[in-house]
Amino acid sequence: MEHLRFELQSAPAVKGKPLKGDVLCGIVSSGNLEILVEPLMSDHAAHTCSIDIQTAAEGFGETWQAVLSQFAERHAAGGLSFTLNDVGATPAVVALRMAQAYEEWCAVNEGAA
Amino acid sequence: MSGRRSFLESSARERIHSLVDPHTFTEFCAPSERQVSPHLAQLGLSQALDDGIVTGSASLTGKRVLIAAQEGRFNGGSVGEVHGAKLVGLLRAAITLQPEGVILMIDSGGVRLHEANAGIVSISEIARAVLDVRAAGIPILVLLGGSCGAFGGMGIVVRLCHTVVMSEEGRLSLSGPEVIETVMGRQEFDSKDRALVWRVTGGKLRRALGEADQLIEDDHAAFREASVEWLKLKTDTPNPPLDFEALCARQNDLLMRSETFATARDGRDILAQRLTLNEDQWTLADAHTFEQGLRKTDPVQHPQGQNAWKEGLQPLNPEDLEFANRLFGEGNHQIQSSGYFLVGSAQTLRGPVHVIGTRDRAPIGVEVALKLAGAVLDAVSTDHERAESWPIVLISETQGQLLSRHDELLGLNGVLAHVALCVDLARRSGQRLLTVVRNEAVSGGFLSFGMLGDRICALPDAQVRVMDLRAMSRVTKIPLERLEALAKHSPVFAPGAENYVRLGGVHEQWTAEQDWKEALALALDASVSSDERAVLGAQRGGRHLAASIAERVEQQATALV
Repeated sequence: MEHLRFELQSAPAVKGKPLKGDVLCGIVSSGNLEILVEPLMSDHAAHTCSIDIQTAAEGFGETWQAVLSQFAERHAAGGLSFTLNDVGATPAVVALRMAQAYEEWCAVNEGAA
Repeated sequence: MSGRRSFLESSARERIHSLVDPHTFTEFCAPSERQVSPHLAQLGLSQALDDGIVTGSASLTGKRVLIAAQEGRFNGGSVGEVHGAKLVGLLRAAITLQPEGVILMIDSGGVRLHEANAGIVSISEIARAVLDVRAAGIPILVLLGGSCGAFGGMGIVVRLCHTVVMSEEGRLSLSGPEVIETVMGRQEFDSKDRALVWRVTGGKLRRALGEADQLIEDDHAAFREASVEWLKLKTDTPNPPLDFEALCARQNDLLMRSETFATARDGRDILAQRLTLNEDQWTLADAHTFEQGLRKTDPVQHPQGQNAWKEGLQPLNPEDLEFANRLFGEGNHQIQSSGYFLVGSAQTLRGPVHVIGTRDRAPIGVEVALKLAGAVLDAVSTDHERAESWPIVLISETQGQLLSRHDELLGLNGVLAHVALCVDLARRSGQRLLTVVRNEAVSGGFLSFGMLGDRICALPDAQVRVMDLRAMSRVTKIPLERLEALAKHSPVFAPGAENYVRLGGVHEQWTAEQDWKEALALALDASVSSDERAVLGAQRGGRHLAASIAERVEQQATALV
């Protein structure tokens, strides 16, 4: 198992509103991963997207960096924390799951707002 | 069919959300609380934030239900310490909250081998909690339609519940076909033959046999509709209690089943008799057509009926006699045996007791199980008639369940659940249950009998286990050396009564020097009818989380009101 952590710049997820609620997406099974999306507690974190990864596939730090940087650029995920439990998902699956988790979080957060 | 969504293909969370009223689900011990399995991490394996089970409360057509769903795609929905404790907590909360019903979406291969000992004790705690919920008059519905089905201990737990609704894709059994094939050979059960696997364990066969109450389509809407109907029915007509008469009727049905299908090895043999449809028809039939094709049958009385268990009883052999002399004292017991089964009565320092159990490292199949159940029912009725309550000493000696396609076909999981229900009836009738583990006690055979004791005592040389380390290494693909090293520090992996003592799964182990008559008397004094094993496991340092996680779920549930 390898533990990776990224703090990436990203546009604020929700402007001017306190973030609430969390969402779990995906399943911990071979070639797949689960992602928990939660609001970061700190006010200073509005422009930071924090990503914590436990992965069964060791030595892919650069690939993670590339996939997640692209995610943080394309989505307004500032102020959100992502916790990933990965069992060797391909970069494509990771990208898809991240986008899905983000969308689900937005949907839940809209409903709550 | 338009708009149909497969239950089989869905995740545990999706299943819950499409079952209950929108936006009514509140999760207990949610993923953000990060109550993960410490044992998986120790083995360097991935953990899930919910440990593979979702537990919570929701409304179904406005009525409150407590609900749990296992995630079959995470480690086969297997039950580890945290996973099991969440379910135990939910069931205990049901007794406090008195919801309209409890719905369990079981999707599990049984014990999580990576934490085998904690897993089996946990399933035993789930079984006890299910029995308590039943006794409190709260109905439990099982929905089965996931890819893992319900196997191992969870196959037994399913049949402790009131109602089982399954899709054709669902499976319900005890030993998995792969296990039977590995141990007994391919001619016994070819696990690659999917059609055969489903004819032995699948939804249609289980429905025809009476092990499931309704067959439905693999569709979320069908699962919701069946649950709504069930809840309506349960609210209108409360469950009849599982009393002596009900269990005697069940005993009779199971004896008849075993006799009627004495040579059956394929679901075809059963389906042909139970259906008005021919094979081409039932193979292709949708759930509705299948239900229509079920033959209505009247119950038939078994010729020996409630006395079938007495057949062939003989005096004990010298080895068993020596054991009985040591346990009760020479001349203080009248115990007989037939094959793997033993039964009788004895005098202890605390008065008379019933003695019921198995011997000779019994592989427990349908036949032995029905003898155990018959003897327990007889003990209950004898005591009832003379208005006395003798404790029952459960002699537990088993190498595990019988690995046989025939026994699986007949629903060995259901038969073992029936044994458990009979033992539980004895407890609720006021009989204390004292388990003595002799030689070895393994998996399913132990789970449905000895593990239900109020107090569980192991003899000095007794082995207790789910599976030996070599087999565990094969299944989990973790090198044996690594498992052996871990076993030195953690009681959750390694076989051995002493490990179960640390986990709280065995209350005490006796020594060779001890006077067992005295030990038995003290154990009778110490026995309590409530399940304190998780607390014991925490006190003894072998199982740190089971008690606290169950309590956490229970607290969150009761805080809702």
